[in-house]
Amino acid sequence: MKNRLKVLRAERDWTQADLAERLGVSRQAVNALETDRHAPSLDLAYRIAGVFGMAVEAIFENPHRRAE
Amino acid sequence: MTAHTEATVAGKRYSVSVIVWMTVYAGLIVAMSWAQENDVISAPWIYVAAVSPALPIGAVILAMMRFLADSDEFVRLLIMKRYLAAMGLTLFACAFFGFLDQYTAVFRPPLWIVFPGFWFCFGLVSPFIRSST
Repeated sequence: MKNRLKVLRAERDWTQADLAERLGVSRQAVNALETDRHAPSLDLAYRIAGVFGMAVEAIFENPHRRAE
Repeated sequence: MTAHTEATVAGKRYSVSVIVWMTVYAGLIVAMSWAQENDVISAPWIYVAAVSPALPIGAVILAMMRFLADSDEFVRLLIMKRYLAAMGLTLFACAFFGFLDQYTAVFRPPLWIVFPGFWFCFGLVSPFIRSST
């Protein structure tokens, strides 16, 4: 699932380990999210949105959104 | 303890458990082979001693389950995918050699090799399974 995680993390000058700690996951999980090797569960997606103070769809591209 | 540290601790605990129990497993197989050749254990203890190498395998399976329970969702899914692929390969190899033995009696590998065979398959598939999706 395409996302803006790496950009958002870089804007805050956080390492992958910093973000992992805030999310309560391993650094491997953050790396997998950033490199599109893991589609997060709804729970993790909401946790990520909470950490960045943004809506889920502002971070993750919705592949099912229909063009208007 | 941070989540990152917890994940590292879970991984280390898993690795140490697997190394320790597989060493016990190998040691028991060597000991039992020696005991059988030298005829040092007699019934009924021979039956207890004979199945003893199976016990470390139970411990390793428990360590695998605990590692899955302690991991985050990415690591859990990744490891489960690798386990499934390794199990599939192991089952295929068992069927392959089982039928080879059934119809030709050319080669009969011992059953105890199945569990180390599973780990061999796990090592084989792991570099190709790097995504949870």
